[in-house]
Amino acid sequence: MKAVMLAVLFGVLASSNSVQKGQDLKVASSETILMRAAITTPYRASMTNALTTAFSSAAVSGGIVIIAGCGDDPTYNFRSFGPTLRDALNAIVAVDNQYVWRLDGYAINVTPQRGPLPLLRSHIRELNIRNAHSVDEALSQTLNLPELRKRVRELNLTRGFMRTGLSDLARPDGPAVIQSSYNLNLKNVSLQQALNAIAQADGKAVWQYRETRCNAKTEFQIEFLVR
Amino acid sequence: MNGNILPGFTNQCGVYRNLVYELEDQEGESITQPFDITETFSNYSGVASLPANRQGHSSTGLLQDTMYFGKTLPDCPGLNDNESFDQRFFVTIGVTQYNLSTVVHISRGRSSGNWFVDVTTTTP
Repeated sequence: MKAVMLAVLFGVLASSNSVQKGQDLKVASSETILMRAAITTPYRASMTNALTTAFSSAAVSGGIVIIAGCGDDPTYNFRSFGPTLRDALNAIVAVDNQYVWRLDGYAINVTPQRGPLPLLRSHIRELNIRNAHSVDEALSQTLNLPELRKRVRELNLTRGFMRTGLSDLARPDGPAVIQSSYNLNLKNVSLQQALNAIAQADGKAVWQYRETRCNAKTEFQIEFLVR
Repeated sequence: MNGNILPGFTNQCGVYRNLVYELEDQEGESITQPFDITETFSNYSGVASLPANRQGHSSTGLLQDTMYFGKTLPDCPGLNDNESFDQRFFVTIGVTQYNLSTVVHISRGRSSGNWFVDVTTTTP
């Protein structure tokens, strides 16, 4: 069993946050991940799908924050001018100047330029994730915190439809699949920082926060698209 | 519907069906090496919006796909909340993507209050 233990000093992380919109950053140790090779999707795709392709091809963890209206997300042709993850991220945010990418420790977040949405800014006094066997389970434990449930009600948000994805499966005559176990203890973090910590504990998980504003109703979905 | 609780999916009101996939080569031989696989979606119609691509990992060549559609209690899908779409797959090895030939049509949710998950493999 792979045990993943993460203790994060978010004061340090917060001070290392940086924002980029198509210009070079001063090199910090965590920014070496930006030099990894990444795929820029060669076909028309939504921003979310282009980002998950770039993140997963570079084997980095991160998060995507999307504000959506009624209907499907717009799709774009992305044109990267280089082979690295930095090139791919610059190409992707270039299609919609509403979004920027940020480096938060070793996680990359793509968010609206004006900053995190209210629910993602929610303060978590203490989060103890114990023996979660998947990022989905760690997410569920997080969203069950009383202060977050209260905050969802205060913001008049409703949770949208839930979906699942593919998961590893052992062969009947073979060895068991190695199961991860996530244990995290976080204090005084935002929901966004907690999601990044879960993603980083996995190593290459990518979460999406999607806020859909349609027919005078605001729904949110939080799910792991890469795990 | 009855069933086991999915990890991370407690207090749910919805419907699901479990499928198992095995990756095979063009001669029908099982591939048992680890790989990353991405599911993609198209031709969406329904009460939500086209799902984003999702990526998973197989260490054995087998994959479980739980076709779940629902909400977290106290919310619940409405009597006629449903969706249908096509599902495709590609496998990534290094920076190369290999498109798989399988196409699955999924229809799920509620119709006149009745729960359903219909899965039709249209290709091959």
